[in-house]
Amino acid sequence: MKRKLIILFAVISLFTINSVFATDTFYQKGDQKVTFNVGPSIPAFIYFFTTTDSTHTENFYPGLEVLDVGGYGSINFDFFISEKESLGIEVGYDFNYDKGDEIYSNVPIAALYTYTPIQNGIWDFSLSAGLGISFNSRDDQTLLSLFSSFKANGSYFFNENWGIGLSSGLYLAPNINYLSDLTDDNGIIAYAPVTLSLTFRN
Amino acid sequence: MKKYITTFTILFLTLFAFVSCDTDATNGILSEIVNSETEEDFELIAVSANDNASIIYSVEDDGIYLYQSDTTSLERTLILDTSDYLNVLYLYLDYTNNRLWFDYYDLIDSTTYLAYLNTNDFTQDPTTVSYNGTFIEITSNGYVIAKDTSTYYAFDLDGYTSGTVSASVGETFGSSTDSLDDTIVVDDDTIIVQTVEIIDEDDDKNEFTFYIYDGKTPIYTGSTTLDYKVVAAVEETAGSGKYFFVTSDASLYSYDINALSDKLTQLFENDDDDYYFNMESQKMFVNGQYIVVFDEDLYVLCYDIDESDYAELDADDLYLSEGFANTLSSTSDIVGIFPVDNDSNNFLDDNPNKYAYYCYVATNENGYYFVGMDTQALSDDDSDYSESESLSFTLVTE
Repeated sequence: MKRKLIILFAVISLFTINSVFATDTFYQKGDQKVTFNVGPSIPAFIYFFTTTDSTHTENFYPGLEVLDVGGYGSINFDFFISEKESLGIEVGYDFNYDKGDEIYSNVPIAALYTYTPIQNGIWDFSLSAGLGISFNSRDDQTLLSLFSSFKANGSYFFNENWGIGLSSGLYLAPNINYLSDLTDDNGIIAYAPVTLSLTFRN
Repeated sequence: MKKYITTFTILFLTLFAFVSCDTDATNGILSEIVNSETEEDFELIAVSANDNASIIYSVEDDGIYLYQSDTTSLERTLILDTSDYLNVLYLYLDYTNNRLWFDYYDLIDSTTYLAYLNTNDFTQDPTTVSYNGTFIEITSNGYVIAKDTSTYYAFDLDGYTSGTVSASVGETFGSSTDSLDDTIVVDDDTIIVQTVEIIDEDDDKNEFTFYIYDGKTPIYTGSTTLDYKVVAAVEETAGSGKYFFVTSDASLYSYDINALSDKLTQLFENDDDDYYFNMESQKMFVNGQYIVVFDEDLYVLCYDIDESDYAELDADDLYLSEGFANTLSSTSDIVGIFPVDNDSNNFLDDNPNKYAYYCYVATNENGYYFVGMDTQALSDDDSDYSESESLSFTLVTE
C-alpha cells in the first residue's frame, strides 16, 4: 500500500512539474525584457595569482574574512535573438565594507548572453553569462578591470508583462595591474549577489 | 547565431584592449582590502605621563595600561585589570616616588577609594590610602581634592609618605555655601581651584573665587573674585609668583602674588560680548611676548602682550607637514606636551585608523606656532604598536 502511494505521488509530482515548467516556448525572436535587481552581496573570495611576504602571504582569501556583506543593484536589458537565447547588457553597482571600514565598490558594465530553457508564460528560469568591464574603487584607489558573471534567475510573471523573481550567481572582477610595481597585486575578487528582481517584458 | 558570437567576441576584445591601456591603476586594491584591519576604538578616561612622555599610563574601559615608547616603538601593556577596581576616573604618576595613584569606587560601601600601585612591581596589589572628606578628584599634577561638610581640602600626593591623606589647617578653602567649579593645573606644583557663588541665575551672573596652591613652598593661598571663571593659567617663569589667567570671556589677566597691592591686573579685555571662550580642557604657555592657549581640539588663541592683540586659530587651519622637528630652531622651542583627545580632533576624524597620544606645541620669535602630533596606527593586534609613526602639523598665523 505504501509503495503504491509513493508511486502515485511521484506520478502526480512529475505531471505537476511538467505542467509548470512546460517545454513550450513563450518568447519569440525580437522580444525584450528589462529587469531591475536589488539585494545583498556576499563577498565570495579574493584570489591572488602570486603571493608576497609584504602584502598577501596567501593566494586565497575567503570573502567574508576580508569583506562584510554589502549590497548590489543592477538593471538588465535583454533582447531575444531566438526563442530561448537573448543578448543584453547589465549595469550594476556593488559595495562591500572591508575590515578597516573602507568601502570597496564595483561598477560592472557587461554584455550578457542569456539562455532561458524553461519558459511557459508564467515561470521563467534562465542562465546568464556576462563579459565586460568594471570600475573598482576603494578609498582613493581606482582600477578599471575586466568583469565576468555567471548567474541564474527564476521569475514568476503575475500578468502578461510584469514578473518578480530571485537571482544569484558569481561575479568576478579580475584586477589586472599593468604597472610593473603592482603586478604582484594581480588577482580576482568575486562576489555573489542574491537579489530580488522585477522584470518588465514585451 | 554565428554572427552574434563574432560580434560578441569583437566587443570583448575591444573592451580588453581598452582595459589594457588603462593607466589609472594607482594601487593594488585587493592587497589593501586583505590588509585592512578592524579599527579598535578605545577611550582614554585619564592619562598620566613622565616628563618626556616616554612612559604613559592610561585608564581605559577594562584597566590601567602602560605605554612605553622610545623614538621608534610603543608598547602597550595591561598593568591592572580594573574589574575589581571600578570607575577609575583619575590617574597620577608620581615618577619620583614610583607611585601610580588612582581612585576607584566600591559598590559594597558606596565609597570612592584612593590607591596607588608601585611602578617598580606591578605584581603587588594596589595600596589603598584613606583620606579626609568626600573625594572629588585627583588633579593631573597630583593633588587630591576632597570636601567635608564645610571645607575643601587639597593635598599634594608628591609629599605623601604614609598614613592618612589629610590637609592641614591653611590648606583648606571655600565654605559650605560654595561649590567647587573647576581646578586649573598650572604646572607640576601649582593648581588654581575655584569656587563659584551664583549671584543672579536670571542674568547668569556668577562670582568666581580662586585660590592658588603651590606645593613647592608652604602652600600659598591667595584669593580674589572675578565675574568669569579662569579657564587656563600659566606662571610667567618658574617660581616668579606671577601668573597669567585667561577667563571664559577670553580676557587675559596677570596675578602677582608678591605684589603688595593690585595683585590682579587685566592685560586684555575682550570687548566682543558674543565671544565666549568655552574650553573644557585648556593648556596655556608663555614664550616671550606670546601667550598661547589651546584646547584638545587644537583650537588656539594667541595673545601678543606687547601689541595687546590676539589671534584666533582653528584646528581646520592645520595642515599636514613633513619634517616638523626640523622647523624648530631647538627643542627648547617646544613649550608644551600633552595627551590628545582622540574623540574630538579633526585630523583624527579624517584618519580613523590613527591614534594620537601626545602633542607638541611651540612658538618661535616670529610669532609662528607649530603643533606637532605623534600618532599611532590602530590595530587589534598589540604587536602592531611597534609600527610607530610620527606625523606632524604646521600651524602658521596670518
